[in-house]
Amino acid sequence: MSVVLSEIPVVTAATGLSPVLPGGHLPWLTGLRQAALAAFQQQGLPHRRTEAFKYSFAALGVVGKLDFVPALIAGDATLEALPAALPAFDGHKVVLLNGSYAPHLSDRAALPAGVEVQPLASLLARQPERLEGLLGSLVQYDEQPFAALASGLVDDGVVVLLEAGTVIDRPLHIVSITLTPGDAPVMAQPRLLIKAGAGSTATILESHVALGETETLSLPVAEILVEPNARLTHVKVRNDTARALHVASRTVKVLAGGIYQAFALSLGGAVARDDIAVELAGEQAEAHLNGAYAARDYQHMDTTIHMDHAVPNGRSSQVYKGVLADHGRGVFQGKVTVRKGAQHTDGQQLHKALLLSESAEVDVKPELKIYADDVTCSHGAACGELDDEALFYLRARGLDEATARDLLIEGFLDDVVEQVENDAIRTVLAGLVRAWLDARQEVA
Amino acid sequence: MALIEIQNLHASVDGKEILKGVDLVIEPGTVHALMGPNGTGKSTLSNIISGRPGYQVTEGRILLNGEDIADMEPDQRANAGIFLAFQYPVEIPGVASSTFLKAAINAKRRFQGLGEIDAMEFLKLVKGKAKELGIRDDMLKRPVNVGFSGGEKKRADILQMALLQPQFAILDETDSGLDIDALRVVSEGVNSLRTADRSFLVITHYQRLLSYIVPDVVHVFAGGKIVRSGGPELAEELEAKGYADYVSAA
Ligand SMILES: Nc1ncnc2c1ncn2[C@@H]1O[C@H](COP(=O)(O)OP(=O)(O)OP(=O)(O)O)[C@@H](O)[C@H]1O
Ligand SMILES: [Mg+2]
Repeated sequence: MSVVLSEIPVVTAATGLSPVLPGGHLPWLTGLRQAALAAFQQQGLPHRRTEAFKYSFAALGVVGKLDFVPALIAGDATLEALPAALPAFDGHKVVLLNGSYAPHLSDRAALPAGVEVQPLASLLARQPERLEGLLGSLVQYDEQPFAALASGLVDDGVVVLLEAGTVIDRPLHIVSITLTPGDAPVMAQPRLLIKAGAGSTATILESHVALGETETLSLPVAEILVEPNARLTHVKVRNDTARALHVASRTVKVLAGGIYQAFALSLGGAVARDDIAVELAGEQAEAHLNGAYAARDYQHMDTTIHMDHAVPNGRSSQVYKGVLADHGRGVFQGKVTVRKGAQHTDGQQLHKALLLSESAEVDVKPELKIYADDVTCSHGAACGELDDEALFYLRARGLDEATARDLLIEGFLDDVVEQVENDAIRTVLAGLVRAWLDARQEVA
Repeated sequence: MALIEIQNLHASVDGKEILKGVDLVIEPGTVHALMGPNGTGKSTLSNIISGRPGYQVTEGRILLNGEDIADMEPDQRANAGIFLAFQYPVEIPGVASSTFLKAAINAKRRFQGLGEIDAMEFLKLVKGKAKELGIRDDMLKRPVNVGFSGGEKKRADILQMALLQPQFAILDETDSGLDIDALRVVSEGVNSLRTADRSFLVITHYQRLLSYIVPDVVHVFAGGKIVRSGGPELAEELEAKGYADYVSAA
């Protein structure tokens, strides 16, 4: 059986699959899958009129042209050891291979008390009642066909439950590897569910790596609940091989006094999209989304954010920086909504792009929807080339042109990487940026 | 042989002639001061010597140790021993000062056929020189010049000079923005680098700097060229009388 997205019998096929998926006997889960598939069927893949995919539907058109096969059908991929493309990182580790838990690559032995990190499938098998009302409670399908499709096929992933007041000592590293096992391009939907209990503190590093020479389609869906006064730091790194497609959807809800601090580094792959919707649902809640991306060749990288201030006294910020080389294309859509009555909201947004070639392109669409009158909101966008003055300054100190340019590009991205507080993670990120530059030098 | 010899240099920006026949010979081991009204081309001259793009040299040439440097890139000139302390040092967000200093030192070492500097040796060297110039350790961790005060930027440039040990250094208004103590510290830094084979071109508007860094020759620069040269006493005369004579003459 092969599931061909272009023809959309994926829905029928997936409905047929439903009983054999983990938790297929659970009515609530079957209902959730069917509703998601119905939403997908109704929308279809993004097209010209899908506003949220205005700049990216064309790049994602390839999804409809290739016969991606859900990992469950494509067969098991095998991997003996963690790939070199993955950031070497010392921490608690849980690894997903094509969306399914890979115990032999994971290390959950030293997790402190109060922290539960469970493979989704096994929790569905053992204690499904703990997921009812939680799984699928935040994800949105409106103009999110990929989130709908992934939810229709939801089978495995990682569930992180932090008890109230828990503090994780070392970061938790969640790894998602996508790898086509046979000839047919694989599609995986790694699911992530995080509930940071009241007053808990944790740092999570989420790494995505696609391997191999064949196309892969990864559709991560994350639902994150930050309970009152919890503090969650969430760093996502994507470092894919050339033919990878990655469309991630994340929905975050932050309750009173909670802080959600996110960073994203996006590198490699063919097309990547990060869709992040945050609702500041309690007063004094904060969300800070920062990120850096670098696109070369014909790579396309899209970050689409919706920051929703639902109640008063929330604070949010977004700072993203992108480097576009060759025919690279960047898209940044940042929407900030301040709902009626959400007074004293502070919402900031900034996107900066560095264009390294005439053929590179960036599309930025900031959007402020403000229905309260006493707020401080701003957005800014800058787009430019390398600064000639800075370039001359470095060269006047003996750095040759290529070295000077690289140092400036690195500085441009490091400037936002610096925002990551955890030293070990920041070092990993800076190392990936450096490796990206070195790889470019080799090609040049 | 002269260390630097500038012969009948004419240069323009966007078709506008700024340098109109500069002649200047700087012997090894000497300090030359260049003084003159605003906007007459002093920084332009410094930039052209350093190889900054954007200027068209229409006539004349610049020799370093007898060799025409016209075809040399800015970094080749730097590695050959030319250093420019900028009138306005540039801020470079995201690039740590220490990373930058190390890259500069290693560029020079590579040029000299040496390997990269050892990390410990580098730290010791930089910290030592920084201390002499009154530069705090935390400034080295910050991005290049970002958030530095005007005077701190100037000191940072002099630190670079002290580390790179150029043969010929141009100080373009390094004194402006320095407080009285910093002026002394920086001057001492420069004086300690004065050797028999190293030379300086010191651009300044104030005689005060020249009482610390005593020049061998003082030049008056006006209307895109050197209009008069003399000894240190010329600076005092300018301080007293201003440039009126030269501006009208130019
Ligand atoms: N890139 C440029 N484009 C256009 N005009 C320029 C450029 N650079 C310099 N100029 C002009 O050339 C002239 C000389 O400038 P320069 O900076 O060399 O003066 P200066 O003698 O160093 O002055 P100051 O004492 O104020 O530092 C000025 O009129 C200036 O406006
Ligand atoms: Mg000047």
